[in-house]
Amino acid sequence: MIELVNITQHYGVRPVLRGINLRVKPGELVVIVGPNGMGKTTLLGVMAGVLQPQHGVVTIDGHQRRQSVAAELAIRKKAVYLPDQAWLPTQRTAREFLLGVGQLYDIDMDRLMEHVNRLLSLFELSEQGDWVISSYSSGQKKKLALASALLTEAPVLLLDEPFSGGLDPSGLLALKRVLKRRVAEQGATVVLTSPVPELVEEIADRIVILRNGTIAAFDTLEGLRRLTECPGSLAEILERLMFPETTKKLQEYFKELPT
Amino acid sequence: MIRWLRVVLPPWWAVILAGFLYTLFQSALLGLEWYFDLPLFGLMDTEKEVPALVMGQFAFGYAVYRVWAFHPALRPGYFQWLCGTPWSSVKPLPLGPLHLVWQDVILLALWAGLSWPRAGLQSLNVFQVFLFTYLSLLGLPHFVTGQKSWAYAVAFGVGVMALVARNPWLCFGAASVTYVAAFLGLRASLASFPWEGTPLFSRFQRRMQQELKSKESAGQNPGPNQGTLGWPFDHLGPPHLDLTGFDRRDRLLAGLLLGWWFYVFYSLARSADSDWYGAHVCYSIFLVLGIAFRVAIYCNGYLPPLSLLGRLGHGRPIIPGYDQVFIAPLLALAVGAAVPLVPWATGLDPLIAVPSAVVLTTWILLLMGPSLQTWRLTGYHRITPGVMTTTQMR
Repeated sequence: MIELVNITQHYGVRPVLRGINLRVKPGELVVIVGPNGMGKTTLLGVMAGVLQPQHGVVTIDGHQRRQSVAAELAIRKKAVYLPDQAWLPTQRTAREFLLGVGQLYDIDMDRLMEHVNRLLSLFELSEQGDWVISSYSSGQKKKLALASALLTEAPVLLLDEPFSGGLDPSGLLALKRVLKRRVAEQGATVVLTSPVPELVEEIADRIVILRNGTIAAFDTLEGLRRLTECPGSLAEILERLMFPETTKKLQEYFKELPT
Repeated sequence: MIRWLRVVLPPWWAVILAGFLYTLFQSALLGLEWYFDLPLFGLMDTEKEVPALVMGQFAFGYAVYRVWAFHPALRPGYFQWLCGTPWSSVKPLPLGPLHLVWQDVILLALWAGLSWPRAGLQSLNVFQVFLFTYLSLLGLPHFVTGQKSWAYAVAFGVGVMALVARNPWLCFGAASVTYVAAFLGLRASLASFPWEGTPLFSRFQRRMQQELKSKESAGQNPGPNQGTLGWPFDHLGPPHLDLTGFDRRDRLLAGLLLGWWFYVFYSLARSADSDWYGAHVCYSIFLVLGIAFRVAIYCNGYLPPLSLLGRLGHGRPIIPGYDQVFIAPLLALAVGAAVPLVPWATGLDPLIAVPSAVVLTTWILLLMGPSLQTWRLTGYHRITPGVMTTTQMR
C-alpha cells in the first residue's frame, strides 16, 4: 500500500502540492490526471522518493520514505520509478542494459534471460536487442525504458507518462495489457500519470484528478460520474471538474440566440 | 641471448620506436654541436641531464609495461583466460614473470650504458626511475587484490625512496627493502588468485572491462552488470554502492600516507633551496581538489529541496537536512587553511605543519559524516540524473 499524508511540496516559493492525502491499495491501478503544470509528475516524484516534501510523509508497504537506511532500502527493492524521460546508457546494447537492471534487482539469471527475451519480443526489439542503444529511435528507447521497469518484477510500479514519448500502437497495446495483467493476476500496485483521458478510462481502477496542487477528486470512473453528475466520458468529467466556469459559459453561449 | 631477453622484452615495435627516438635525439644533439663547432651543451649541466632524462622516460615506460602487461589483475583478458586454466601460484605466470629478473637488470644496464658517455653517473637514474615507477604501480594491484598491508608498506617505501633520491646508495637501499615488501605482497596476492571475495577487485575488474569494452566496437563484449545503468536506476534502484573495499582503517591510513608524501615533497623542496612557493601551490591544489571531490560526490545528482529563492521566501535560509553535507568540506577548508599558518604565528617548522594539515583534512573529508550511503538514502534532497548521467547518456 502507498500512503501519502499531508504532503506539501515547493521547489521555490509557490507550492506545487498542498496538503495531499492519498491512499493507494495493493493490487490497484491508479492514474493521476490533470492539466499540465498541476503537479502530476511532482506527486509521482514524491511517491518515488525523487523529491523530499517540505511537509508530510510517504509510506510504502509500511516503510516510511527516507526515514532510515533500512526502510529506504526495503522500499527501493519493492518500488520502481520510471520517469517520463529515462537516461539510458547509450553505449551499451539493450540486452546488456536489461541484464544489468535485472541483476540490480537480484533476479535469478535463468529467469532473467528468458524474461529479457520475452520483453524484447513483446516490444518488437528482438532484432535490435544486440544493437547499442544510441542507434535506437525515441520510440524504441521508450519501449526499452518500459521493458526495464517491467523486468524488475517489483510489486510497486510508479510510471510517469508511460504512454507518451513516441510509443507506437503495438507498444501502447502491449503496455496496457501487461499492466492490467500485473495488477489483476500478480497483485502489483501501479500508479501512473497520463494526460490522455481515453487511455485512463480503459485501464484505471481509480483516478486521481489534480487541480492547482490539490486533489480535486479520487475515485473510480463511476464514482466520478456520480460526483460530477456527468454520465459522459472522463474527458467530460474532467471538463466539469477542472473548468466548471468555462463549461457553464459554453453552455450559455450555445443557447439559441433570440431571433 | 635475444630469446632469453624476450621473456620481458617489450613488443618489437616499441623497442624499434624507442631506438629510433633515441637515435633521432642524439643525432640532433651531435648535429647541433658539429654545426656550431663547439660543445654546445658542454657549458651546461644539460649535457648530462638531458640524455639521462630521455633514458629515464624510457625506464618509466618500461616499468609501466612490466607491471601492466604481466599482472593478471590489470588485464581483464589475461585474467579471464587464466581463470580457465589450471594455473596456480606455484607455477610461473604464463605470460612472463612479474617479479624482477636478471633480464630486467641487463636491459636497464644497456639503457644506462647508452647514456653513460654523456651522462656519466647520472645514467644510474635509469634504475631509480624504473624502481620508483615499478614499485609504485605494483602497490595498486596489491591493494585491489586484498594485500592492503603490503600495499601500504610499498607506498610508504616509495616515499622513503623519493626522500633519499639524491643519495643513490641510500635510495637503492630503500628500494631493496621496498622491493622485499612488494615481492612478499605479490606472492600473497598471486596465492589468493582468482581473488574471489575481494569486493574491491570485483569493482576494479568491472571498471577495467568497461574501459576495455569502450576501446572495442560496442556490443561485441557483452557483460551484464558493468558500469552505469543510467537514470533512474543508478540513483533510485537498490544501491549497488559498495564501499566495503575501503573501510575506516583504509581511510585513516590513506590520510597518514598522504601526510607522509607531503612530508617527502616538502623535504625535497627544502633541500632544493626552494622558497616553498611551488610546494604551497601544490598543497593548495590538493586542498581545493579534495574538497571539490567530496562536494561533487555528495551533491552531483542530489540537489537542495528548495531553490535559494524558496529558502529565503519561506524563511529557511538553512535546511539542516541538506546543508549538513557542507559541514565536512567547510571544516576541512578551515583546518586546511589554518594549520599551515601556525608556523607563521609560532615558528613551528612547515615541514611538520603542512603534512599535519594534510592528514587532518584527509581524515575530515574521508571520515566525517554523513556517510555516503546514509546521505543518499535518507538525506533531505531532490534527486536528479546528475551531470555525469546527463552528459554520458545523450
